[in-house]
Amino acid sequence: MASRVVLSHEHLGIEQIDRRRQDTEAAIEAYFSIGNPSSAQRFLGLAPHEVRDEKEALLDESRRSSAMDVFGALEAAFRVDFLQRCYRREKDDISRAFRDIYNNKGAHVSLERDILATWRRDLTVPQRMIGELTDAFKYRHWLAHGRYWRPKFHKLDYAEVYSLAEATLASFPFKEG
Amino acid sequence: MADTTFSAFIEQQTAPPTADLEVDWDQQRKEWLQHLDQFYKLVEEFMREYVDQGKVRLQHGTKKLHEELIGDYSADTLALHIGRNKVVFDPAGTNLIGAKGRVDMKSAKGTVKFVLVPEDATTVNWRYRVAEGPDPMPEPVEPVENWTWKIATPPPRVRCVELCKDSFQDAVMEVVNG
Repeated sequence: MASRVVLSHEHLGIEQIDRRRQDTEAAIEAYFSIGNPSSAQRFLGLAPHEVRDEKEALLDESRRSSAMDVFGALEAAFRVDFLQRCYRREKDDISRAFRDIYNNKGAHVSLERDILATWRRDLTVPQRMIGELTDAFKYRHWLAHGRYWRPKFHKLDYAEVYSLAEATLASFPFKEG
Repeated sequence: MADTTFSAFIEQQTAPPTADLEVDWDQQRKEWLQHLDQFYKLVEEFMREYVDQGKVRLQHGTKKLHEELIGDYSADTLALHIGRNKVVFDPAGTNLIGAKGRVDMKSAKGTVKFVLVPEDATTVNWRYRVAEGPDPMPEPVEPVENWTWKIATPPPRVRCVELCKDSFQDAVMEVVNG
């Protein structure tokens, strides 16, 4: 019998992540403004458009980092739900299917191949959303693994990732730890 | 209500600039191009020994520049051919933060920025202007009497280093060798 995963309760909610993103973006805007006391030193010799380009590039990277955190929060929600359904021995079909997987693989299951594939069988959750999640997590893998290959899928922006996470958390009957 | 707000917006955008913010950009461009010419003369002086020996070849050219508030114009370029290496001097413009001009020296292994700054500048406190929006720093800025070319260190803490034959040669080796 696999040993139980002890939950850390340190995982962030998507609202917390979004608040931090907003603060970070406000800080970047301030840093790149003429109001920054060190702006003359930092941006010496740059044209206004070069400063704007640098700022936009930094904002883009910051949003991608925030998107990664949202993906992390989403994965945590699926995995905590998976574990709770296994440990609580609930009788619904999803919980039974998860326990079968858990008995074979323990806690080290694939989000896409095991968890999302099982949710596909539950017609009470929006099936279209599972497809969107599967595609979105391809983008997450691309980010997480250093973006070294040219992706064939749509690169979501932060707003798309956040909206998908918000809709998923509102639509799935997740069991919390 | 929307009409009133929009009318105020149009008035604001089309109002003539106040006297202390007016800049003669045509004059600014002419001065910058003169300083650019002086910069190339300085480079040629630093390299004369090697050019005379036939070990370095100079190549002059021009490029089109477009700058906010100034528009399109041509500026001279220069390239050094050192063996199989090419070192290009790429003028960036004059509407810059803290500088009256910039030339990027580029080669295979990097870029070094030369900036035209006040003679006493190590770091600077200056202002810049953007095409849109109100001027962010309305206080008057003391006119600069003497501009000089210096080497700008990489960000984030940019400093201005004296440009002399030694620092120039170090910079050339840096962009060629890395």
